[in-house]
Order: sequence, then C-alpha cells, then structure tokens
Amino acid sequence: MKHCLLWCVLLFSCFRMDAQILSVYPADSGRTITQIRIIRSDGSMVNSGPDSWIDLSSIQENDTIRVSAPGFSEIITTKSELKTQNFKLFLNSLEVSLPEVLVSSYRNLPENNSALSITHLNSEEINRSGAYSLSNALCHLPGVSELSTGSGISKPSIRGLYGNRVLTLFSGLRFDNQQWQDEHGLGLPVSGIDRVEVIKGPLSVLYGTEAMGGVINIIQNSPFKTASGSQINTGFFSNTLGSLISAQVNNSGKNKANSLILSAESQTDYFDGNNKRVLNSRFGGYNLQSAWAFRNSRFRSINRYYFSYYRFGFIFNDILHFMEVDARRSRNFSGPHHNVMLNLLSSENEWKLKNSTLELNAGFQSNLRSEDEGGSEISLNMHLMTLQYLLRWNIELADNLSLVIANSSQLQSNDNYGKRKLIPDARMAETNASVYINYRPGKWSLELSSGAGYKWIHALLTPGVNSEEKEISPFSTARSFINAMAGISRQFGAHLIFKGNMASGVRVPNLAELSSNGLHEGFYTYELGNPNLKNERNINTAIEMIWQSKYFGFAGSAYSNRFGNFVFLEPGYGEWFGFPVYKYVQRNALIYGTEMKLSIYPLGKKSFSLGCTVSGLEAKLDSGEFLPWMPARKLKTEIKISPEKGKLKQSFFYVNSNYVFAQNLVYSGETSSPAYALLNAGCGKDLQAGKLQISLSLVATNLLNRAYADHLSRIRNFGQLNMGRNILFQIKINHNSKNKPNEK
Amino acid sequence: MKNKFLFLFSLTLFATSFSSCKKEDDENELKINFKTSGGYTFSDATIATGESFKIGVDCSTEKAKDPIIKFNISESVNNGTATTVYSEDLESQNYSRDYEAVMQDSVSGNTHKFTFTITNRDGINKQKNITLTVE
Repeated sequence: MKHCLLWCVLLFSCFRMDAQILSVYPADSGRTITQIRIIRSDGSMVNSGPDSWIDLSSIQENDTIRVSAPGFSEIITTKSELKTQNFKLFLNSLEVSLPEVLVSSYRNLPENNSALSITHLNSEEINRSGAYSLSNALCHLPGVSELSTGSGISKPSIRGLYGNRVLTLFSGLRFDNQQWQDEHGLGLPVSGIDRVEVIKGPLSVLYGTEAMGGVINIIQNSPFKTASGSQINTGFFSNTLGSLISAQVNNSGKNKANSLILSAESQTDYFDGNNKRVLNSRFGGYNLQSAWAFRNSRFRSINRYYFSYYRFGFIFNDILHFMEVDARRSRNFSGPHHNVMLNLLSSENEWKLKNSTLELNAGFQSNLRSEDEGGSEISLNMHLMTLQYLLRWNIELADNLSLVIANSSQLQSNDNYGKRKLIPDARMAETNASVYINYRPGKWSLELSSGAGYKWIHALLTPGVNSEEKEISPFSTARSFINAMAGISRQFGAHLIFKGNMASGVRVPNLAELSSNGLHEGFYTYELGNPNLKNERNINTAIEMIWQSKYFGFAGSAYSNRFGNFVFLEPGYGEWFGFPVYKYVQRNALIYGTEMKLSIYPLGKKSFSLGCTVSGLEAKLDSGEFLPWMPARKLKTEIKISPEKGKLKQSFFYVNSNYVFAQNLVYSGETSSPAYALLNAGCGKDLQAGKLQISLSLVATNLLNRAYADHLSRIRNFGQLNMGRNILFQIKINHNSKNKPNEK
Repeated sequence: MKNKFLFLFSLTLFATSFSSCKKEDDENELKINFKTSGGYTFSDATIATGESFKIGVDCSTEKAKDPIIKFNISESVNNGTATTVYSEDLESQNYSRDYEAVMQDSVSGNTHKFTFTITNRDGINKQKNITLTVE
C-alpha cells in the first residue's frame, strides 16, 4: 500500500513537473489566488484554469512574463526563475486596477505595454461621473476637455484639438458626424457602451486623415462578454428634470450571442449657478442597438445595427427672436433645434489563420442632419453617407517580433436638401495602407510604423454655394500623404515604466475650409474658404513615465505637437456688404503641454485612495499669437473610498474638486475666462436580491451651485453660463440567467 | 428565428432613414426693388459731374422669423473693389431707404456701380445694382 502511494505521488509529481504548473499564493496567506493571468512578451495571455493553476508548458524558458491577479501586485519574471522557486509564486496585495487590454492601436495590448499615450474610461466610471453626455464624461480624463454649445451639443477636445482633428471610432469603424462645424456635437448617448479608449496624439499612420490630435474609440458591449439576461437602467437628473432609461436583453451562448438595447432620454432646459434658465438648452431622443454574433474555433463575427434619433435645442445670441419663452420644464422643440438621425450597420470579423489573424471591419453609416428654425421650418438639411472597411493582418514572426499590415478605405457622399447650404454636395474617397512592427527584446518594446494614403474630394455644383456672385466654384482635389510612428517602452523593475513616441498626423482640410462662401449664421462673419489649402500636418513627440507601487502611483507625460499648415479662420479681410470677412488660412503652430496624476493608497489598498491630477497646455502660431479655443489649466483632487468588508462592502464614495485656472492665453478677439472651482461627490451600492443585482448611485456635480462659464463653452459669448448643481440618481437592475458570459 | 426577426426589424428601421430625402427648392423670400416714382434714378444712367441723383429702394421679406438684419450700399468705381458708403443694422421685415449724392467724379466715362444689399438672419442676401456713368 505504501509503495502504491509512493508511486502515485511520484507519478503525480512527474505529471505536474512535465506540465510545469504554476501556483500563485498571496504573500500573507496559504490559499491559492484565483484569476491568475500571465501576459507574455508578445502580448498574448494565458489565464488560470478552474483549479487556480496555470500550465507554463507553452512558455519559453527565458520568455519574460508578467504574472498578475486582481488585487495583487504584478510580478515580472521568467519561467527559468519560477523553476528555481518550484513553480510557486507569492504576490503582495495591491489594491490597484490592473491595466486592461486596449484595442485602439495596431495590436491589442495592455495600456502600459503600448508606447502611445492611451487611456480609457469604462462604463462604470462613466456612470459614476454624473455626466449627461459621453463628451461630458470624457473630460474627466487628463488632457481631455469638452467644447460645448449648451449641455446637449458638445464634442471632446484632446490636448486642445477637436472636431476634424480628432478621429472617433464606433463599432470599430470611423464615425463621421459632420464634425467640420463647431455646433455639431458628437451626438452619441452613453447607453450600450462598454468603455471608451482615448489615444492622445496622432495615429494617422493607421487610421488616415483626421487622427492627428487623437483617437476616441467607443467600444460597445460585446454580446459574448455580456451574461444572458436582461437589464434596466434608469437615471434622473435634478437640474434638467431629465430622465434616461434603457432596457437591454442579452442571449449569450457558447458560439452564438445576440443583444438588443432600447433607450430613451429627455432633458429640459438647464439652470445655471445663478438659477437662471438657459433657454433652449434642452435635448432628447432615443436609440436602438442590436448585435448578432457567432463564432467557432477559427472565426468570430459581431454584427451590429445602431439607430438613433436625437433633437438638440440650439442656443445663439438672439434666440428670443426665434422662440417665445415657454413653460419652464417644456420638452417640446418648438424653437430652433438640430435633428440628427443616425443609421449604422457594421460587421467586425476575425479569422484565426495558421500563424496569424486577419481582421475585417466593414460598415455603412447614414447621418441625416437637419436644422429646424422653429415651427418645423427646415433650413439646413444634409445627408452624409459613408461606406468603409478596415483590414488588419497580424502575424507573429517570432516570439518577440510582430508584424501588422493594415488597410482602411472609405467612400462618402454629402448631399444638401435644405434651402440653406453651408458646404457643397460632394463625393469623397480615401484609402490608407500601413505596416507596423513590434520588437520586444527583453523588457523593451519597440514599435515602428509607416503608411501612405490618398484622399479625393469632388465638390459638385451646388446652388446657393456656387452662384454668380460667389467666388468659389465647384472643384476636385486629390491629396496623397505619408505618415510614420516610432515608439519605445520599457519596464524598469516591478514599478516603473517609461514610454516615448513620435508620430505624424495629417488632415485634408474639410469641405467648409475648402469651399465656404457665405455668412456664418449666428455669428455674422462672412467666411471664405480656399480649395487650394494644403494638407495640415503635425508631428507629435511625447514622453511618459508611470510608477506604480503598493502605496503610491504616479503618471506624468509631456508632449510637443508641431503643426505645419494649421488651418484657422483669420479676420481682417475687409468687408462683404457690411459684414467682416474672415478667411481660412494656414500658419505653422505649436501646442505643448503636460499632464500628471498622483495617487496615494494610505492603506496599501484600492479601497482608499487620494488622487491629484494636473493638466495644462500652451498653443501658439509661429507669429506668437495664441490659438483660439484652447482649454485652461486644470487641477483635480479626489478622495475615493470603496470598502471591501462589512456592511458597506460593494459600495463607493468619492469627493473631488475641479479647479480650472483662468484662461488668458487667447487669440485676438477671443475673450479671456476667469477661474472657477467645482465640487463633486458621489456614492453608491450594489445589492443582491435573489437573481437580481441592483446598483444604486447618487452623484452630485457642481455641488455648491457655482455660477461659471468654461472657456470652451461657446455660449459664454452670449452671456450664458454652464450648468449649476445637478444630482443624478441611477438605478440599474440586472437579471442574469444561469449562463455565464464567455470571454471575448 | 427570433434572431433573424430582430435583425430584419432593425434593417427596416434602417431603410426608413431615407424617407425624408427630398430636395427642397430655394425660396425667393427676400425682395428688393428700386423706387420708380418721379425724382428717382432706377436704371443705369449717365450723370454729369456735379449733378445730384437719388436712388431709392423698398425691401421686404416674407418671413418674420428671418427678418432683414443688414442693409448695405457699396460703390465700385470702374469695376474695382467695392467700398461701403452706407450700412445699417436692422431687425425688420420691411425697410425703405433713399440714397442721395452728388456726382463728384470729373473723369468722363468712369463708371460708378452702386450695389444695394439686404441680408436676412439666415445669411441669405439679395442685391440690386445701378451703374452711373460720368458724362
């Protein structure tokens, strides 16, 4: 009997040795840790099995690997080192979020492994921010601000760049919501969003034109990652007496999954900090999102349809001439407003080939935007249609060498159907191809990429834009461009990461800049475009340092963004029958700045943290003039508590203050903005009631009801202020069936 | 079956997005006309140096929501750059103005083109012009 047992033990040991099983334990206890993840030097991952161990057989002896688990510090080691420890590893507790794998660049890499300055915001953080729009949520990230025309119309500004200088991705494809006009907001609600990744800096080498200031990648919930069941989410806003409701149904199986989301939103006019109503700041709408996905061992496909219809009240100087002051909480749109209808069809596909993967994202977008002057009188009515694809082939040439070849192309058409036309009817096409190499010797990661592209614009004869007395004629233009990116990152020890990168960006001037020839409504400046404007170019150089330890975290970055042929509107070109003439011109410019984030964990745990974030930039033309619409410096301090034990387990509390400095670095004719400070707070708790998971949260923004006007608020020129105190109460109810979500 | 139904339903909604794509015709909502009663010059003419002239215009717009916001008179000599000789900010559906001046130019054959422009809040404008030639 004893011999049998001995043989069994020996055999078992041999099995375990051959299988090279790693067991991971907390440093202060003997029980094994679950949810172990190993990230190899090529970015691929191995996850622990059901018994909390990981088989290291597929890992090379000297391959540098990162071993991590939720709530524990990450360790960088090699298999040969682990062998000397009998494949036992002890991790120290560390309540710091693990870096998620991000998907916006060439390869899916953890945030700290990419040389790009890339950050993200997940749905939970969006909901807890108390934001009333996606743009409003994003401005909680360092270096990101919000250019707004009231609460409903806003777009993100990344390091001072917005509109056509920031590329937005949605369902893996370029999202074009006619961003050539400052009054056209991003127009996407927060429902159905899993997370948003933000790349600060150009990535035109991959995505082509417009990705020169940054990329905002809006990632929807994956049907495979969402558990089967249903969810209802409601929110109530005190300032606007607004409401947001969404209902979601998911059906997730092993190889098939589908989901359906319906949501609706309604916001009345908001009150500023002086309790004065900002007339016609109301907005609302509804949307539908459906997804149908299937997969096998070699292929995965996620197909989506997105529909939304939103109306946004439009605020301008003499709004009272267009509408009468209606009931305080009116929700009708009898005054001037924008109607935006979006239809998006997309398909994200991935094939696992023998030694590589092939991704193809393809889609069609229809963007119908009309401007109603009030009383259902449509003035501007434009339809933009986009057909596009993104193809990526990713091959591992060696354990530490990856190659990606990518191609993206799109066809667009813009048609006017209203009596007022700002830009001509046009047909456009663009294609971009690039090659990317990632070499990872040891703890280094080197990234190199280069690409070339071509854009063609054909403006058609458009009555109202091209007429006898106008100077601009229909035109065609074809532009080619090349781009490149080089990046380096390295981890020093267990705590320090250093990154540096240099990347170029390009933007072909938009239709408004090429062909404007008329009065800008509301501002009454006569704007002249120029079809001969050159491509706008930039080279961005950035360095970043990240330190993360049990009690302390620091992230600091500095960047310099040099522009050639920066396009902007310049005054001083005489008069057009009594109106001052502005022309779109090009000058060289420089934007440079810094962002820093400091986090302190006094107890060495995520459950209690103190944070401080600082950001600031300066933007100048070579002539010495400051660029317009640049965000002011900001200082944010925060205390966050999320107890892990006791009655307050699964709850959160936070208080933060946002101090925005005065902005006096302004363009001629632009007014300065005074400093202001806002206090925000939030709390919430997750509850379990049988099969129901209930999340409650209460978030207050501008708790002290300060009266202020942010520098990037376009309505401050009309004497209007930003929103006063707002309290958002949210309830989310999840009902999950027995099926657990499958990993993507 | 259910999945296909949902997808077809979604596609149907997608198709409705094209239902409102009918082009609208431009409306001729602004009107500007020269006064033609006695004493007014209302068509191209030849004027002697030192002679006075009077040009009058009646302007109107159909839409109260898009009133005339600016009236402008500019003068261009021998088809050169136009310069404003009179400008007024308005907010009116109807407007009338007389412009009186004396021909100061002594060079025979020089042309003086007077352009009268009204602009509404939508940025739509309408113009009328008269060319006076020095005798």
